[in-house]
Amino acid sequence: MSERGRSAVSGGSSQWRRFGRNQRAVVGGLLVLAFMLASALAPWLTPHDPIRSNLPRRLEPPSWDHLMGTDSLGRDMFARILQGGRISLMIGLLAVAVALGIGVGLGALAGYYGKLLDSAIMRFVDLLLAFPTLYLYITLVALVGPNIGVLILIMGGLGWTGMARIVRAEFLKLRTQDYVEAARALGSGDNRIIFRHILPNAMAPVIVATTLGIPGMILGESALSFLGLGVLPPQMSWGSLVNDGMPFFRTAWWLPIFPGLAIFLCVLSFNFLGDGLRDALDPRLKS
Amino acid sequence: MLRGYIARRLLMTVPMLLLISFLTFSMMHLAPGGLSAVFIGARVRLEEDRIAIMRHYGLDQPFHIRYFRWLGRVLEGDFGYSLRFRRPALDMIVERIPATLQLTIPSILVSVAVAIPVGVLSALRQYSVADNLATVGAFLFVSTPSFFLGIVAILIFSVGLGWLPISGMSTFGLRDPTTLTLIVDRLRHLVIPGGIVLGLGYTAGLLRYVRGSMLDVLRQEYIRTARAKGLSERVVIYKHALRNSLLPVVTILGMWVPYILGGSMIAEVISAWPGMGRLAVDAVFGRDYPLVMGTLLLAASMTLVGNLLADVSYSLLDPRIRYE
Repeated sequence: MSERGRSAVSGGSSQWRRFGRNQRAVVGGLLVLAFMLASALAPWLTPHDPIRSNLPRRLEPPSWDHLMGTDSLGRDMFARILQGGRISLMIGLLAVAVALGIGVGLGALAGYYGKLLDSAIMRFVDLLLAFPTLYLYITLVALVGPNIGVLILIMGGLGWTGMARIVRAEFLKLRTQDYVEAARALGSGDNRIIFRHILPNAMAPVIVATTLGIPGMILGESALSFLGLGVLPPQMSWGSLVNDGMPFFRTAWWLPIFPGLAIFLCVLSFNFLGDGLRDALDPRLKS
Repeated sequence: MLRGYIARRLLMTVPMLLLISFLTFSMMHLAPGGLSAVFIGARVRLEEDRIAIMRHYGLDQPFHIRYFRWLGRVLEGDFGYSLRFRRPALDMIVERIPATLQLTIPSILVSVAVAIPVGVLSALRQYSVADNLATVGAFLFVSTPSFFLGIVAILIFSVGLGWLPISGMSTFGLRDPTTLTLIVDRLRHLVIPGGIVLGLGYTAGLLRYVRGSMLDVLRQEYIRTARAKGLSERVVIYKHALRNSLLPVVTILGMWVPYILGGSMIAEVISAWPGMGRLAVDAVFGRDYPLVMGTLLLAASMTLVGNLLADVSYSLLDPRIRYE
C-alpha cells in the first residue's frame, strides 16, 4: 500500500515504463503539450489579429491566407481559435485547481476525522449532487452575471465532489495503516500525519482525478459558453466561438466546426492522458 | 424488510428536499437587488405595490420566517409569477415538461437497447477487433461536446442531404395528416435532438458502463462455481452473469437524471424544442428569476425522485442491499 503510494510520488521507473508502452496515453500527452504550447505561443503562430475586424472579407471559407476562414466580421478564425483556446484551457485548469483545493481539503477532513464531520461533509456532497449541474450553473450565472472569474469559481466551487469522495476513501483506508499508527505513537500531531504521512500516499488517485477533471471542466465551460451564458465578447473561448457562429452556420460551416473540433481534440487528449496515468499509477483502478 | 427499506429511503428524501429548497432560497439573495428583484422585478414601480407583494410573500420578515413563508407558498404550488409573462411560474414550467419527456425517454430507451447488447458482447470478446471498435467509439463520443454532434448532424442530414428537419417538434400545417404521417413527422423531428445530441452520448457512457460491469461479474467466484458445476456456457453467461451485470445499469439510469436534464437543455436549445431546458435558458436571458428558480427547484426534485426510484428498484432486484 505505502509502497505503491510512495513510488507514485517519487516517479518510480516501472510506472513510467507502463505509461510509455501505452500508445494512446503518449499520444494524448503529446497533444496536451501541443495545445499548451499553441496557447502560450498564440500571437506568434499567425499574422492575423483575433479581434480586428475586416468587413470586406467577411464569411470567407478556409483558404491559405485564412486557414480556418473568417467570421461574420471578417476576423480570422484560426487566430480566434488560438485565442479561444487560451481562455478555454485557462478556465479548465483554474476550475480544476479550485475543485482540487476544496475536494482535497474537505475529503481529507471527512476521511481523517470521520464521525460527525464526515457525515456533515458527505451529506453536503449529496446535496450538491442533487442539483442538475447545468441548471445550477445557469441559475448562478443568472444571479451573479457571467464573467470568467465567476465561471471558474462556480465550476470549481461545485465540481469538487468527486475529488472529495476519492480523497476521503483514501484517507479512510490509510489512516489505520501501521505506519500511520507508528507516527501517531511517536507523537506526530494531526497536521503532520495528514500532510506528511497520509496525503503523499494518496497522491496517485488525486493526480488521475485531476487530469480527468480538466476535460470535464472544458466541456462544462464550452456548454455554458455555447448557450451564451459563459464567456462573452469581446473575450472568446471555443464554446463561445461556436455560439458566435450559430446564426450563420448553415452557409458558413467552418464557423462552428473548427472550434468544435478543437474542443473535441483537446478533451480527447486529456482523457487519453488521464486514462493512461490511471493505468500506469494505479493498475487496480483500471476500468 | 423491503417495506422498511423503502419507508426509510422515502423518509431520507424529505430532509434532502428541505435542504434543496433552503439552498435555492438562499441563492436568490445573490441577485442584484436581492429578493425583491427576484420576486417583483423592475417593472413594478409603485412603492405601495412593491411593499404589498413583499408582504404577500412574507419577504419583509427576518430570514428564517421569510424562508418558511416562501416554503409554505411553494408547497401550495405558488412559485411566484413570471416577471415577463405575468403567469404563474409553476404552470409555465409544468407545461414544458411533456416536451422534455418526449425528447429524453425515447433517447434513453434507444440508448439502453443499443448499449446493453453491444456492451455485453464487447465484454465477452474482450480485446477482439469488435471490442476495440466499440471501446474506441465510445471513448470518442464521450469526449465530444453534444452540441457539436448536433451541429454536424444538422449540417449533414438537414442542410446537406435534406433528409431531416432542421428544428422544432413537428411540421406546422402538415397537409392531409393521417395518424401515420403525424407519427413519422414526429419521429423525423426526434432524430437529431433525441438520437444524436442526447442518444450518442448516453449510448457511449452506458456501453462503457455495461462492459465494465460485465467484465467485473465474469471475474466473480460464483461464475467460476457455475462453470465448475458443469453448467453450459450459455446458462452461465445469460442466466448468471448477464442478470448480475445489468443490476447496476438500473441504478445508473436513476443517477443520471441530472445529466439527462442537462443534456436535454442543450438539445432543446439546438433544435428549438419547447421543453423545460429551453424555458430555463430563455428565463436566464430574460432575468426572469421566478422562472429560473422554479426550473432549478423542479429539476432538483426530479433528480431526487430519480435517485429514489433507482435505489428502490435496486433493492427490489438485489436483496443484499436491504440489509446494509
